[in-house]
Amino acid sequence: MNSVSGSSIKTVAVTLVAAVSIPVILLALSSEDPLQSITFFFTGPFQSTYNLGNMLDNTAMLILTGLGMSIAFRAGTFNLGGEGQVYAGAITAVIISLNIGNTAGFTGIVIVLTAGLLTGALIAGISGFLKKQWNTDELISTFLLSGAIIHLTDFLIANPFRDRSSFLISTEKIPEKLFLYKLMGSSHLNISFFLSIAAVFLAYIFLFKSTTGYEIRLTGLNRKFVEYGGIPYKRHLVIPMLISGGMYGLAGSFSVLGNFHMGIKGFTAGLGWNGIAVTLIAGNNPIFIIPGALIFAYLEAGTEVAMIHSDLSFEFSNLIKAVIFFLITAKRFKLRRKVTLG
Amino acid sequence: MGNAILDMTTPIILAALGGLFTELGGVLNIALEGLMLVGAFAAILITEFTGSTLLGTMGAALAGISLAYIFGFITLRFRANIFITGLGANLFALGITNYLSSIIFGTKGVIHSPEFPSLLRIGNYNLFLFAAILSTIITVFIINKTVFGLRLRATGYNASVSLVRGVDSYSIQMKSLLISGALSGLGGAALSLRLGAYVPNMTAGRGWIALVAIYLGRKHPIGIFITCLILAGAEYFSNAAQGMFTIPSDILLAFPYLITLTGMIIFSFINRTLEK
Repeated sequence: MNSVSGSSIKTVAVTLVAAVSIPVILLALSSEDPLQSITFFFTGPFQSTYNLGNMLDNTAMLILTGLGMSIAFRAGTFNLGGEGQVYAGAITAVIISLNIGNTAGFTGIVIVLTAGLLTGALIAGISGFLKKQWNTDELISTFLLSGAIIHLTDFLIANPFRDRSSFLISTEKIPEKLFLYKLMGSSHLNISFFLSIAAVFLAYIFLFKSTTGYEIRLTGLNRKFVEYGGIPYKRHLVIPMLISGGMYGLAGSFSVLGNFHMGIKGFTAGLGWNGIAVTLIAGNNPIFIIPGALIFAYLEAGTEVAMIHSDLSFEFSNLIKAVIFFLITAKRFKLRRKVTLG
Repeated sequence: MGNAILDMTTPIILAALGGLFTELGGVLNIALEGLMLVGAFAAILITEFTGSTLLGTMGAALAGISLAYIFGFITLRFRANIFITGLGANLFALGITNYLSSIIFGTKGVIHSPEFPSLLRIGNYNLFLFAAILSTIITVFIINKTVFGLRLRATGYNASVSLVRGVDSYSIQMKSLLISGALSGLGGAALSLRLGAYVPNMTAGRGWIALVAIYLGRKHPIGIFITCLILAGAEYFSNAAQGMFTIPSDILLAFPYLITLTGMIIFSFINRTLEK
């Protein structure tokens, strides 16, 4: 298995320049007023506290998902099921919120967040368990499981929990006493921002200061060596999965309590892949996840504002991610061929 | 019934055969999904403008080859991680079809026109089924009886050794990627032309199912063919169950994933048990 290692600064720079140029080129090609659209792309996120707050809220979600993925990558495992894990975490948060009745405020919030976290961890944990038990390829099993979970979650929102009075395919609104405290006007930014930053430091301490973290990193570097050295490496096929899935589930429940306040069909779509993009920009280093998430959130916010102010309606998000994924792990940028061993 | 199962399985067989070439060449190709998707889109786009499903089909293969080339070029020449670039190719396919669809057709949704030519059929069977059978036979031949097939397997077995023996592994792996692009593109065309419409993200995991079918079929073309038939059969019967129990459509959509995952778990369980 090719584990994903950190990238050089040069690679990150080339990747980011390419990622920024995608929206610029597409706007120049397709917008009726390219200059205005491009200006909106660069300055849009800072034009109002609403845009800025939403960008920072997205950053918080990206930090959590990026962290989850970086721990999986560090351990040499792949978790391609983020889309399903975050969506399932979110719907669990909605369902619990709608049913805990009078458990108010803090206790309620903790229960909901824990439930979301456990849901994500459980789903990813299944793939980790299968890998440990029968060597089932986790790259494919996480993806397939997530594909199924997405449709099952769609079902929950569209059928048993649907609010028939709404125009959207959505659930009822969760009780207001569970809403997370907002930080910036009408924007979605809320206290989950600080909690996600705290999670970065916890992840750092876990990876670099704890025995399990050390063993996980070692497993990612060389599984055979770890096995030979007597470390119970099989455990480290499951633990990173539980953590990465848990982070995804947590991000899903945060976005419910802090932002959406209900379940809407497909509402967390994209967060799973975005988390991978962020951790790759950050070179799998927890500390760099913060700037990585900020950069990615800025790109997303910019394209969103540019779209709102133009005549266009296509989505850049996948193309930007595509460019990042294409280039971020490149070892070199030589266009000419050279046959070498290795 | 048999007909419906064959129609469902044809796109997956084509993509899985494509993926077999890359797999044997030592490249785990998780981009099959994206390669199929650009094929499905190109087939409808070109058929719409030329009125010819034949040109549409060729365009689909070409679209698959083009994306496979970009994917291969970056992966092999920049020495990038193939799983990550493979994800990139899948997201690129989603992004580019979304972009072109909204620029050319003015919609991000379903592309369908009433005067769309219907797909050629021989008797009750659609032409792509014959293409899939033919491809299976040709694949058996190429892998076992040609110099390219031998070099492909040698490269997959040990790229460094075959390089020392004078086999250009870059070129071999690139060729296998282009073949997988062509076949997956055809698979995409089989999907969209049969429906006579393009639906966003219409491959819906089929590229991943194809990938699993390669393993379940023990990396043999005929094994893959049979595996695809079994997977499609299982999906057909679970769909048929819908009529009896009125299962909501969202749950039905989850079935192909669950069926494939179950197949994969059983396969790895058996493998592990045999090892012991």
